[in-house]
Amino acid sequence: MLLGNYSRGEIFTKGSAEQIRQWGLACALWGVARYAIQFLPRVPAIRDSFKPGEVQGLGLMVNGLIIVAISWFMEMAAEMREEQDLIV
Amino acid sequence: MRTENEAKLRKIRKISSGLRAACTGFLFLIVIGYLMAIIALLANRGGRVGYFDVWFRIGDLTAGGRLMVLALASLTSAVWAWCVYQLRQLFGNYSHGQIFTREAVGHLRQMGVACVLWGLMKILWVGLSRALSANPLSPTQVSAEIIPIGIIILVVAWFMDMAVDLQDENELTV
Repeated sequence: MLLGNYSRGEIFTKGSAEQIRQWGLACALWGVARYAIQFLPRVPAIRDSFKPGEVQGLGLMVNGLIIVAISWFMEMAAEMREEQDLIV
Repeated sequence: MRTENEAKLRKIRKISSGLRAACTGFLFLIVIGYLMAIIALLANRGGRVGYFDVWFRIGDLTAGGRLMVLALASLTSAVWAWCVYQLRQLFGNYSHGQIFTREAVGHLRQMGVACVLWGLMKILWVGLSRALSANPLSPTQVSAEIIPIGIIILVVAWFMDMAVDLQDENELTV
């Protein structure tokens, strides 16, 4: 969707900023899922692939949240720009 | 300027200043962590040192091993610091209302490169732990999802760079 917007020249728009936010949320949720999956002790394949003390998914969560924060600023700026473009 | 836009601008400035301060704090922590690692490795009085869940017992390392860990720790801390510094600069630009500017896009691009290097550092740490003979504390898998994230950030920054170029040319057109 984001690359679709870019192919139409819609780069600094609210729609593109929203797509970036969705991507950031997806990264953060991916991190949460990675973190949560290690608490499934009944699945040996999963249990054996983690060492105790490994914090899985934290980096992804943080990256995702940073991307969401940046997209928030872009969305605010795009909104302000679009409002100013409407002023005669 | 309309009052709603003024309120939005104030909100942008307030939040970006707060995030910039958080980045400064995190930079400080990276430096402190790095100094502690150096002292621990040079003093060689036991304990553990590590990055990305890869830990080494200092007592088990030879002098050469400690040197390699020190070198990789220096490189990793530099990459971390550079990434957080670029993020700090980006929020600094946002706090001045400079969001869709060449400078802001430049910082975003640098962050993309730093993310790719961050992922490479992870791989190198796991490689080092396996190379320094049967480290029981090494993780069983390498997760380097940050590399594709960094590449995507670079791609997005490239498009934004092009758009800023077009924007600047349009503004010069009479």
